[in-house]
Amino acid sequence: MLFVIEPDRISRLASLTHQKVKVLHKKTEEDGWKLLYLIEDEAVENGVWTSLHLEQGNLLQMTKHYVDAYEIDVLLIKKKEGSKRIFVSCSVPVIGL
Amino acid sequence: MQLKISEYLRPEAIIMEIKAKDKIAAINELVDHMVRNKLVSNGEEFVKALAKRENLESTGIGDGIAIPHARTNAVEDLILAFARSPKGIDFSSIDGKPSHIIFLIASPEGKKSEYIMALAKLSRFLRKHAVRELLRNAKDPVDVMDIVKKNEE
Repeated sequence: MLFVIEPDRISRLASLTHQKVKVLHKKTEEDGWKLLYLIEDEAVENGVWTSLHLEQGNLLQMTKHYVDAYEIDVLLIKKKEGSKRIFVSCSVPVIGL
Repeated sequence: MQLKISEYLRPEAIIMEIKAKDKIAAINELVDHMVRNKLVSNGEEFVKALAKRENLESTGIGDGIAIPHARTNAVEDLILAFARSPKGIDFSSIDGKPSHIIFLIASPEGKKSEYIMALAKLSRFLRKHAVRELLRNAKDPVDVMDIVKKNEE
């Protein structure tokens, strides 16, 4: 399971909401880990093997890197504004949740 | 809810140089240490819960860090333990590197949100390179406690 923090988005959101980038980054990272561990807890209950990853960078580039590096067959992604790029650019089937 | 890692880690739950060479032996050694220090009552059930997780996931999060964890009623409250392995132990980390710093977390079944929060805090805390270096060079359990207290946010 991969959670990607995009610094550009954090900066944009910080300026829009008048929050400090550092504060927003910390919150996003903690929320990311929480989400990963929540899904992992559910997966373990159902006997599903998991591995957690939190990365910083460009969502599309990071996703492509993981698809290549770990020979991923199918991607399941949370449908969000930024995730549209993955549907059209990824070399493997993508399922939006 | 603000949760502080340092509030759940005690000097009696720290092993500065773990002898184990594989992950299950490391978990056994840490849990034995906690049982001897009366931090855990049912060591057998505790190990079973941790081992179940180890068989279903990689608790090695890379950069020489492993966070074995479980929710189990073998513990009465959220509990943390720390161990250091100079040679490193294979926790099936995705980066393929052995783990030198091991943080164990457990909580009772009913304290899921606290448990998830502690895991998230600890994962974020350990991603800082400076913190990892400080922990790798800590002299004793008091030093480990100080590093955690001074560097957690």
